[in-house]
Amino acid sequence: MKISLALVGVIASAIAPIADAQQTPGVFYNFRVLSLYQNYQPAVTVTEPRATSTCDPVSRTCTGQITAPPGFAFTPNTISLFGGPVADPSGHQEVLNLDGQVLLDQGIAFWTLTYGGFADNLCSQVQCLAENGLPQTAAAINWPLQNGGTYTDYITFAQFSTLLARPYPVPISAGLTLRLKVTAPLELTGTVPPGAPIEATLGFRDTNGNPIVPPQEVTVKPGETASLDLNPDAVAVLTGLLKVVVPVVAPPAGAASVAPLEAALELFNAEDQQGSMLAVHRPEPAEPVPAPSFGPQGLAPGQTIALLVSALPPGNPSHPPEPCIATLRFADKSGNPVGPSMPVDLLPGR
Amino acid sequence: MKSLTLGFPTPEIPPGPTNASERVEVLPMVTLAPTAPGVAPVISECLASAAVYESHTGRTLTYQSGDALRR
Repeated sequence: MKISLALVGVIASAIAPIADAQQTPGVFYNFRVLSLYQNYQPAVTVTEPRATSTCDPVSRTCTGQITAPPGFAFTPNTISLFGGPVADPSGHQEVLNLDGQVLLDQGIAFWTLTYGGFADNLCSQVQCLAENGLPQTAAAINWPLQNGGTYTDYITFAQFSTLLARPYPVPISAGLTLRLKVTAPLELTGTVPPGAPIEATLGFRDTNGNPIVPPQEVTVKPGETASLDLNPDAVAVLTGLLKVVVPVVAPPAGAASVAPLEAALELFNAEDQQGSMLAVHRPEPAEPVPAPSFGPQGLAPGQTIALLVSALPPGNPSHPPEPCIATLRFADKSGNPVGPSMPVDLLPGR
Repeated sequence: MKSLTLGFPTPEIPPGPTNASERVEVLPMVTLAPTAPGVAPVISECLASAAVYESHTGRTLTYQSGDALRR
């Protein structure tokens, strides 16, 4: 069942009755409307903001409106209602109810989404699935245009990207460039309609959370990659022999969440272009992994290994931060402790 | 952020007697605060990563990230 909600020839589907009004605490969604042109020449130029939205955590309702793009043309087949069941983006696949209405004479689409309290309504029961069988957590409004093309607005409400929820500190050598790259997957995990662009803000922070370079807003379509470089000059101002930075993939301005992206880090020497990939972060699983996942690390004479820990930063409404209370140590291949251990007690974001 | 470093060779793991350049393997470990019986469990979540660098220059050689831990 395709959940994309076109204005032409699309039904207003009903959600299953809500049996239990109990609300789910700690979940708050913010919505973002992204736009995409399709098959329209000349290209539509949109200069004014066309969409607004707001969420009320008390009533657990989000509302928004979208004005028609330039060149929009109603047809006899245009209908004025849209809506249907969509999936909770937190990964639990609970059902959220989306209702929408278009004022034909004004060319404005209004939508309302209610969330929370749907623990007994799962997507497997009410078919809030995309064509690929995965939960669909976004809706599309296809505006027919005068020249026969289509302008699509996506109402997205997605999980945080991995680097946003897991901003690992990364060591970097003096003289090297660290490149943060994000790619919109060709095959999305069902959280964004096919072809939808994804917006994000890329940045680098120091270990105190301060920006090292101005953040950069990017927009990528499936298969596209955007990047931000941290050059040696910016690294040189950091203190300590081992320079440590925190790459961050944050929501775009005005939004509280960003759709899942694959993020990669590459370290290279700008002079000879030699470098290596450090890590690839894919959209995080619904639940944190309960055990360490380090592999045994080879160490040669003259080398030092550093184990870095930090606490999750605040700002992820679906995943409240917790302190990091732990003990750090190293073990040899027999499991015996090597060197000293160190207790840590870090507040969220430290 | 906090860090624990271990330089090699160490008193605990000296280089092999026949090959001074022998590599050793160490496993970085993050152990969450234990929960005592009868006491409310401690919720702890950590981001962890590990890096190897040249002891004298600070030049990083390799890196791996761990997963968040939660109790």
